[in-house]
Amino acid sequence: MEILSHDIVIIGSGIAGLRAALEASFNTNGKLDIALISKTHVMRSHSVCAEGGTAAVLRIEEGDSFELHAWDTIKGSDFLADQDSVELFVKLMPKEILLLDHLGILWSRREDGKISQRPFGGHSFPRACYAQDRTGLYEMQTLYDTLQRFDNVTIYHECYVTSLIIDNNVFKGLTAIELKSGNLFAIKAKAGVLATGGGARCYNFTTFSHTTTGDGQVMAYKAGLPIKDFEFIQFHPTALVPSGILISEAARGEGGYLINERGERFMKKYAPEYMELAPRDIVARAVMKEIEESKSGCVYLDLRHLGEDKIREKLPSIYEICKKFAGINIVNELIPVKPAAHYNMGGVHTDSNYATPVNGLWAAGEVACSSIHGANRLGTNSTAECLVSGKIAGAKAAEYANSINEFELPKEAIKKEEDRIYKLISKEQGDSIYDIRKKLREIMDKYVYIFRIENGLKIAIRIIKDLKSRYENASIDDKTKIYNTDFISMLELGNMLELSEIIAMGALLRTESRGAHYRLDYPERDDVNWLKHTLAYWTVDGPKFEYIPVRITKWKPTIRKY
Amino acid sequence: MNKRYLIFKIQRYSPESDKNPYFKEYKVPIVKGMTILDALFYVKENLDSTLSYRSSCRMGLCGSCAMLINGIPKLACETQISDIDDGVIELKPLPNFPLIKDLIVDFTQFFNKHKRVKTYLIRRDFDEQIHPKVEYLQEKNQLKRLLLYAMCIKCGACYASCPLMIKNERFLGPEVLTKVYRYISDSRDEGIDERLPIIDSSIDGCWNCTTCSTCKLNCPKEVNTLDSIIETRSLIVERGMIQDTIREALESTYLNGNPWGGSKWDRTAWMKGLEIKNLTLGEKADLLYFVGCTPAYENRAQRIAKALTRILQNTNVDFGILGDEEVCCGNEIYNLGEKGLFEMLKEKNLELFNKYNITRLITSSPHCFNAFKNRYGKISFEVQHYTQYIAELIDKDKLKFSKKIEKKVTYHDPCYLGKINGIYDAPRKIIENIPGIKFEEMPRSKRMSLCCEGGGGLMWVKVAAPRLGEFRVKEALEIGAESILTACPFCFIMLDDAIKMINANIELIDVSELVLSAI
Repeated sequence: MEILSHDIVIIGSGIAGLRAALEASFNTNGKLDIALISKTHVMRSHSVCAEGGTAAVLRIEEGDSFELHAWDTIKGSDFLADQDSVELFVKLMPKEILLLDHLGILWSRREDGKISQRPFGGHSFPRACYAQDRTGLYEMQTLYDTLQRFDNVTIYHECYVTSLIIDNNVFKGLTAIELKSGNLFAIKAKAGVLATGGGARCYNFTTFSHTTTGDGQVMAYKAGLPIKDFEFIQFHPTALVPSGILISEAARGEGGYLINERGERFMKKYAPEYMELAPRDIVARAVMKEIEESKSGCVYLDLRHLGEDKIREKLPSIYEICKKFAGINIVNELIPVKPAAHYNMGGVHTDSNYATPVNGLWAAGEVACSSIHGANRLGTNSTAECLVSGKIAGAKAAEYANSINEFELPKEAIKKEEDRIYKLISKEQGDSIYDIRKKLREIMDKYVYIFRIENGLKIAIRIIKDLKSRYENASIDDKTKIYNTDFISMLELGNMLELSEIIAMGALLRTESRGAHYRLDYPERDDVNWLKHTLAYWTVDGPKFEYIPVRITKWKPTIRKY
Repeated sequence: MNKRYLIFKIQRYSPESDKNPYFKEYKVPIVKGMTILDALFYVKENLDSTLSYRSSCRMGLCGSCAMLINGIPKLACETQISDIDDGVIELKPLPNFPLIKDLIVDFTQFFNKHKRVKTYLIRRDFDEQIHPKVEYLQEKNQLKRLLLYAMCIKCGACYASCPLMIKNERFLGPEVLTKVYRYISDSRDEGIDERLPIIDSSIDGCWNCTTCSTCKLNCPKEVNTLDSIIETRSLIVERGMIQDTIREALESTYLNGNPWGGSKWDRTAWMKGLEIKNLTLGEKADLLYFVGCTPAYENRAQRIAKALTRILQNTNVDFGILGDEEVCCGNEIYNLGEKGLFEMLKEKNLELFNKYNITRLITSSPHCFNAFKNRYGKISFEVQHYTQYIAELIDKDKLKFSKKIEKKVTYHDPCYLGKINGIYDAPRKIIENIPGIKFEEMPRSKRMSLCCEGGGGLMWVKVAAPRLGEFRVKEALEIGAESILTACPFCFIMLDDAIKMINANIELIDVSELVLSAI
């Protein structure tokens, strides 16, 4: 197997990965040898799908403050956020917005030429900086374009990382398959940044890209790292029916209404003050209740009163998406929506500085869990976290890499991975991975969705375990080496099965309702027993769970009302 | 309810087992709202899991799934099956990229083109740039303009559309050039002087572009690639950094009203022996025939003007010309980036049309037609390309064909008639009305028609051989056409050059000549 060598390897090319590569380059004057490895082409990452905005305190003189942003985030998290992580996050954000501005992003502007900000759910001040409703795409463009400045960054497009190499709790590198050739190779690196994004494609109705399959979480999990708070899945209240494509919260931020079958703005029943701009967990549950009561299959997003000019200027993607995917003209028609799996609050356990428990390995973006989102993330805090965590992880990894001496990759780890891959691909005759995948998504939607209950979760866990053993005997038809998408689908499915098990088991154990995790049989938050983080560790028999306390600095948990 | 099925004809190729790509058919049940990507997933999950394609966001943002859908580069995820009414759906990988497997092509070169041209915001004070303290201000109007060029998702549809890529893989292409312009024209950027010299090149830079517009037409995100290239040329011309041949053409246009170096007094030399009303001499007519510089001055193209004149005379149309007062329409001058000169020509022509009360005119050239129709602002006269006018004469039974022409012919779409102005049917209607003629399309036609490489001012740019016309002539030969027809003086010259260059045994005819010979 070919072994390549770099100072830092960054896994994933979304906002967090690109930001990390830039920070490491800035801080070392373009000297550090950086590998950026992505299973897609860079620029095809799921980050491009982020629509509504990026939160930051820019206008203290107009009434915003770090305190407010932190409080909104912590209250939004249903008090599961680690407060020191949140405080660091809100303080670093404004610089990130300015940096993107200085790198050329097309932030939407106010009349005075300054960066414009719009209201967003759960935020008590309009602090979502945005680029129309294509914020993620423009952030990605800006970061990718700026990366072209640096010759020290080697981009490995379309290389699927199959494992992390960790020796005595020290990060050493990784193994990956180059799709174009089908060759397995290894990268030896002094430091690593895991930035592979979320992983809720294990649901059927989801806003996630097809490629967002939780590969990073599972490569870390299998390497012994704990996965934190993974039972907390965000369901975005407004995904287009029937495709599940995201209709940005910006639609409500700009003044859109949610109405039910009877034409009522039903949010007045659930969040009289914040209405449509309550946090997502609350709106998603409200929408589900309305759907269940009316048996209508969806509720409606009403943007008609915004007028065509505002829609075309501020929400062009929503306009285009509804037209192309649903044949709807939102200027004079309602958008049918329902909640869809959208975001993982949980992820690879890190500290406030995005360091994982493994020396030399950081995690950034959605794959990481430094616990700023707790049990429910506020809209526009995710792209924000991608930027901040990318910056921190990039800087720390660069600093660390510069302090490490040369070493050899442990041969046995490579050999083991080679054998595993060979065994997987060469299996003859077995279950279809696509049947298993279909079944998994079906049961995740049925039993591990917004409303959860003991019995349902138990059924789900039983089926997931069964699917896992079927997966052990699954095989694929495509036995070729070059660009084998059948095989990649197989690896991805393996990851989704692992993560689904963690989600369902964590959800079963957590006998309370907090943020996005709602138990019909335990409808109240239980701070006495459950104000704590879940950590899941991999074992042959399934996840082993441990719990750690939440770090509370200033804000004591209170009743959460909107 | 009966299930509806559609046949998907999908190109397959595995480099490990196949010598050549081949098609395989799949029968897919169709449901309402289904996209091409949904169908691909159906095939992979249910019929043939070895089928390989890329996909990710399935919402038209990540750019993974661009492919040829019934011959046109599109995103599979945002193409509704119900919008395609051809019966069979044919899927092929994007052209102009090396093929890897099935529908998957190699983007390595595409991505590698970004670095060299500095597609990022340049500030003189880099340290301030990466350690920002205060936001830069940006006017809303400026932002609005930049957004026209910014919504690129790197899907490769433009690259697959670009005819230049067929012969010159070094060409930076529409995606890169648009990106460069997007930064150059950003008020925050200070890098124009670093970038312009890199893209001011006819080897790989902006002078390769024929302005054929296939890229713009096929961009799923409606990025204005074409204008960004012309605007870039404008910036280069403003700085006086232009090739001699371009300079000569511009000077000739400034001094004599034509880019061909002819004297302004020779504009009517082509009509020797023909009696045509000259509207500038006090004669009146219902219709102005705007001859255009190329048919007026270029030896080979003069036959178009002659043929058209005789058709109009044969059908008793009351028409006239502007004689020596006619000046260049400015279309190619605009394409070369000399906007000042274009404005001058526009004023001059509008003044003439006004002075001689022109209410209706026809042009020989699609380029003149385009200038008047799309680049002169609001106009008070009706303008048609001659093929539209003749098609109308046929409709009204004013033009009848009496001779049989037994030939197998094909038709080359001029870009400025077809892709840019959507006129595909008029010339085809004329051809198909001619008794005895056997008409066959070339593989690349209409929206994906191959450019002759004569537009965009490329008549006056030193460009490396082979010219695209040669590829086009070979395409006509491959379908066994005896004659290749076209309806544009530039195409005529380029194809004529190509035929001579490769010594092809094929006849080149302008549609006007064909009409005349069949009357």
